[in-house]
Amino acid sequence: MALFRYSVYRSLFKVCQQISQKQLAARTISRWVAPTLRELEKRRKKAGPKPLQHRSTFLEWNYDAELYAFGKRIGEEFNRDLLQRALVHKSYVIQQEMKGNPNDSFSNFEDNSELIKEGENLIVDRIMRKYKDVYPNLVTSAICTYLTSKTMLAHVASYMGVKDIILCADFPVEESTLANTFKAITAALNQTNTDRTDMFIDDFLICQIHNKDIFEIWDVKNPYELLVQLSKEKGVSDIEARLCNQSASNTILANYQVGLYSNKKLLGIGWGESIDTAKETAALDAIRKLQNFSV
Amino acid sequence: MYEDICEGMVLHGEIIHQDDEAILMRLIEKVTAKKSNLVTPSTTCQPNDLDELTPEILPSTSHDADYYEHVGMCYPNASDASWKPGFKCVLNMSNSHLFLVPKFIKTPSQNGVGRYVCQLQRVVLKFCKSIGNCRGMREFIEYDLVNYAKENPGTVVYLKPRRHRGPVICAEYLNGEKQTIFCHNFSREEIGKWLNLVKTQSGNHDGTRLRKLWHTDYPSIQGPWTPYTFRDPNLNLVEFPNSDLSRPLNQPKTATEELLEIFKKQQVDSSLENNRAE
Repeated sequence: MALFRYSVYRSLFKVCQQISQKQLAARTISRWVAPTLRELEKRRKKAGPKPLQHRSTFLEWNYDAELYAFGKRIGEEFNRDLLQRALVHKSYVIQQEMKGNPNDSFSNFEDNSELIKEGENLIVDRIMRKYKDVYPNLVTSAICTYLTSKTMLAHVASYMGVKDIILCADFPVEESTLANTFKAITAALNQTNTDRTDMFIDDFLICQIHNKDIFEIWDVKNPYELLVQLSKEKGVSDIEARLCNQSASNTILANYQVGLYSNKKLLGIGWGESIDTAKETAALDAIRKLQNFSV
Repeated sequence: MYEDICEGMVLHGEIIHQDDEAILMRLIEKVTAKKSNLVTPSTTCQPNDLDELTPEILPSTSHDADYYEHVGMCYPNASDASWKPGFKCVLNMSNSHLFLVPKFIKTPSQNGVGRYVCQLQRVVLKFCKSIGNCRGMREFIEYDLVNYAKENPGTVVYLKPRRHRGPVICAEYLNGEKQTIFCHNFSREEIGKWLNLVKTQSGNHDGTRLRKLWHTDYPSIQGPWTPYTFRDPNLNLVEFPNSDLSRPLNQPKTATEELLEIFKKQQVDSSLENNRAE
């Protein structure tokens, strides 16, 4: 259809060109051109923007080459069939069956639902193993939730370039589909070469917490109580909160500085618009110092 | 007088006419650029067919790369290898082109923290097999393309021969951006350089400028300012109310104070002189 449109358009201007060549002596463009263009513009505006087209509908598209390049791009050797299977979603298989072509070249493979489950376990397992000994359980689970969130996985997957080669029914590809694809790819890699899986997860997913503040990832509900609890485990007791400074109280710019001390040693210091918030900020600072957070 | 006006009108008419022709040429170029060589041209145009015309082949209000190509100006680019001395550069004085979009240096998706991923996912080389301005492109394809593809296995390279159309490099990045580079009369080396640029870029940086040539994750080591930063430690021991601190800081000296100061200075000077005399 698109080709037809172009051809119509091209012919319109060929006619236009021919006419203008004939009337070269007059040095004008035929009087019908401007109104026609105006009408075209009007109709274009009325029709609205052109719907998005999947990359695979383009003339220059080679799925095999794309699959090969995908593996090379992320620097992993995949079993081709497994990689192919990781990219076929259940929705695609169902769609093909509904269309009545179950003998489609991709439907020979099963869909990736099993791989998704396996991949999810692999990812969670890797994150837990990496941070279990370093941070307390609360933090580890927070990091795990952050990294395995749909948005994060989809972000990672899309920057690996899977968006165009996923076979699924939804277009444009949804976040959940992208996230699932990442899990399936992890599982496919694990089945191809078990040694590479951890490195793959580290390099693509876990590196996303690089340069992130720990409290952007971990939302602490009652920092002061948690600090008391954590410091008890570390053998620090008698935490005392002191008001170090205050300024502009009773105004909209009121601010307080609270320090948390134990045995005359400063654990953490924080600011806030009220004494309570300042105390909480101080507690967060103390937790950060106590746990040596480098994230 | 009358003739002058007439002449002016004619001139004016010509100018308009040229503009129109430019628009038409642009349209034709756009149409031809969008099409592959498979199209069968039809000579008639039914009114009903006009509905089917696609929007992007009509003139857009903002000039894009196609336009630059048409008016024959060098397309400005962030790291420009194509600026040729002696190539005529026309400034397009539309308001949207007076300023480049400001950008910061950034790495997409922590690239390189774990491992480096080439951000160019595919590149399409469009060319004609016979036209003269594609010569460089054809030579590149003949001699260098296989090496380029071998060196970058993560990038899919497509070739798209089209009859009687200029050479174009069409790059697609992992962030979904697309970049079109028109390679009219480019030599084989130039094509290679542009492809190298495209390979090393993280996205389409056309029409942008960098606000800073550096980036830091820690713009301040000291941290944000608070009312307690750099506070005089003496203030910790002061008892309030304090008459000294309650005084306005910018109060000028009184005449008495100034006189007293002069008197003190005189005394110091005289004592010094006495010391010297002794």
